[in-house]
Amino acid sequence: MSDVRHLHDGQRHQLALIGPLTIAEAAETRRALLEALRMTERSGDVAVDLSGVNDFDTAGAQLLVATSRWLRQRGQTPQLSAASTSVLAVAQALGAAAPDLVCGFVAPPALGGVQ
Amino acid sequence: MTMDMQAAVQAFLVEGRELTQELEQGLLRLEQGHDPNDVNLINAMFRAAHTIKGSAGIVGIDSLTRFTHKVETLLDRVRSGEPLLDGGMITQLLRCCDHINRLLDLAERGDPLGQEASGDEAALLAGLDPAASEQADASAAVSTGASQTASCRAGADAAQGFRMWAVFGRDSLRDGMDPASALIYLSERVHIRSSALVTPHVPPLDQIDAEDCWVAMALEADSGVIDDAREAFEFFLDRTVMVILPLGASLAEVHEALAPVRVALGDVTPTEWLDSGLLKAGEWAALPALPNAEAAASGGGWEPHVPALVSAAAAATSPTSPATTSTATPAAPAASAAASGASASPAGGTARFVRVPAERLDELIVQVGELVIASAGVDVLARDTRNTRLQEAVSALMQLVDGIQSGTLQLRMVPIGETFSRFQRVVRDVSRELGKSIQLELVGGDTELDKAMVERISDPLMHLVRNAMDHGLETPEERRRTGKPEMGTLRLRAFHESGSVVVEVSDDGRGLDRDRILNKALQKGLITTVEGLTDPEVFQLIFEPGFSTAETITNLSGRGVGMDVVKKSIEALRGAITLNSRKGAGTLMQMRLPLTLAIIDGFMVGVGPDRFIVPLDVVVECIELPPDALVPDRPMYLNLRGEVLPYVSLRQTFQIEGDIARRPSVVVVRSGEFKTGILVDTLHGEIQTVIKPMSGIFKHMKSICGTSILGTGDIALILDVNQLVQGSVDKATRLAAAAANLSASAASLAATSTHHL
Repeated sequence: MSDVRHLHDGQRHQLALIGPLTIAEAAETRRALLEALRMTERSGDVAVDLSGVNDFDTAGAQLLVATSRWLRQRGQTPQLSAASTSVLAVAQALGAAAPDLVCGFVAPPALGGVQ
Repeated sequence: MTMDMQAAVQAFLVEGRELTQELEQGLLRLEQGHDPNDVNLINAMFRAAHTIKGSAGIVGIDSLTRFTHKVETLLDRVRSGEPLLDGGMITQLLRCCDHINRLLDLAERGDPLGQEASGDEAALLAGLDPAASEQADASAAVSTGASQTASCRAGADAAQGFRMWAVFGRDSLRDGMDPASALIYLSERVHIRSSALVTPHVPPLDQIDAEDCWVAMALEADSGVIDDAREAFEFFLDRTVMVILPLGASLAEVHEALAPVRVALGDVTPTEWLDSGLLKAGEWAALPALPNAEAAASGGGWEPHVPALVSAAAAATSPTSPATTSTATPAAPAASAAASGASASPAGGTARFVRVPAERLDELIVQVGELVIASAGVDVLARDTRNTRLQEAVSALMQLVDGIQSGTLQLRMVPIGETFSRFQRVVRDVSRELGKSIQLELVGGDTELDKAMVERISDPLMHLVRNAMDHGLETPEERRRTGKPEMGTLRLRAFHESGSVVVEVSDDGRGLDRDRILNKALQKGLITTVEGLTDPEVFQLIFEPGFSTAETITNLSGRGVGMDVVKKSIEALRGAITLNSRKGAGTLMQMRLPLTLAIIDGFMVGVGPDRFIVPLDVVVECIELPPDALVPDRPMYLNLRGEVLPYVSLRQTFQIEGDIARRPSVVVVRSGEFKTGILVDTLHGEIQTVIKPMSGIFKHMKSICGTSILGTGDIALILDVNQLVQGSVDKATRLAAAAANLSASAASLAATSTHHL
């Protein structure tokens, strides 16, 4: 499964996913994400770092949509801070040039962390 | 690569080989005169190629995707009625099957790019090409000539692009299908102008089952044809609502065709599609009067046969889908037939079969073996207690264990037919190479035996088949001269007989040449005289190491490695091979094999404190040793109802200390075609037991092929009767026995000895 790392620097949550994020890991990663996010405070934006995701598919994309949807329900705004090439390739295929749209994440002004 | 992916690749390698074989069988059937217009056969072949390509794409074996695509394209054209499959093309396609197999092998060894084989590929593809270009002209002519009926095809050739909307089935992701990879695959073949996912139904993180699929997707391509999309998404068809239309479809057509998509999406407006221009508001919104008005307005200009494919499956979300499917624009008949066929066959297949990795079965069988041993131990203990209720319970338990054991073994039984049908190709190729005309007859293909056994007999079987074709069957001229039909017959037959499987290879060729075998044997020093050898004895000589009668060494056989190796490998399987031949009429080779390698139905005997197990299927009867037969210094034989029966003493063979029991018994066993006795102290009766292989240091113990742990914890040795009998009762004993008894009943004895030697 993806390793889910969560950091809170006082202002912003940072959520980093590392490892594969495909149908094979979807169920476990969902649990890990829920666990990590449930412990966070229900305020402040969440920056999501996908630069460590080395394998990605539609199930992964869907999971991110679900994450985004849940965060918004709690009044938090997710932001994509970085994405790996595998994520971008899938996102591009699914939604042409709009990865932020696909994953339900509001993209930061510039995708500075894109690898 | 994750573990799951590796498992998927492994599963694909198995599936790929099966499909390639299916393709090959189809080609061979066509070549043997099967109706080339048989739509079912052609479709099956096309689907095989198509599935190989699709699955290879999914597991990332690029070499295979690329290559099989070419094969598939050709078959697709055959499917649409082009007369491409002449003899030359079939040969070429068979070579392509070989190449596919090779690419599978390479992928297995970690070369998914197939670089090692890329050299041959160009030549193979070139072989598919000349006819292809020739036919391209022909098909162009056809489509202009019959403009009305061929408009679908012609439209396709124009490659004008298409639009597609799909609401994926709930299980799509779980079943290993990934819309993103299908899209990426499609984008390599056509130019996708735009695509967008809609996700209105994706539940929030705390409610989602992450393996469900909740997404829908739309795309627009400005090149390529509908077939391209259908192909990329073929594996989704089952549970996915999918609509594909050409770019030029009118507003009304799109609106009508989208009905199942609307139902599947539950009438949620897909804003992402609208935003990205993949859907126009008018195409989606249900304007009550629109379809009729539009149809009336467009009048005769509305193309009646727009190639649209609407595939709405019986998903729970679309109860009205059957109705909408029927009102949808009629699809091209061939296309819809292919689609329904494609989705029907896997569905039927999964319902009846479960694919299980062989190792798991092996593990299970080992476990069940341990269970059998443990329960036998319990049984022994229960008997000691004299507690009848306990004994009854245990005996019920034993019965269940017995059932489980035979059920488990049954799991690993496979019909031999698959192995047999592989020989179609071998016979075809070899008969061409040798310039012989040979037909292959397969009998008893549904005979089942252990999978491990099937794998291990395929090499010996191959050798026998090649031998029969090379040495046994004559050239057409030779056959004509001897008044036989020009076409030689090679027959593979399998059947069950008294607890073992018999596999036969027979031919109606020239038969074995006794004189030639004798000459050769003399030359090689295998025998010293030709006197007094019976036919079976002479034929048995060809199983000697280094024996080969072929005067010219061909590619196939005659290198002097052969029949002895065959014999050894059959014997290693606790089987036996016999040979029968009549000069000029043919040869019959019979392999007799146990049903399974893991478990043995045995007959337990004892010598002193030691226990031995004789495989039950070789036991003929048990007799008490007649007192007059026990003469220690004489060759050991006894009179079994007038028959000479040589016997071996286990006590002597294994040098067991102690005196012979007061009333020793003889177990009469059959080894090959003759009977032999085994002298033992006590008989313990039938036992079913798990064979434990012997470790390396006991390998030299020829007469023992394994061990078994008894319920008491003691070890019993399993006897290899063939070896035991061969080692102990040699021919001299038999001849001496025959000579000694000659006076008794000369006539009958002569007959028996000839028969049994």
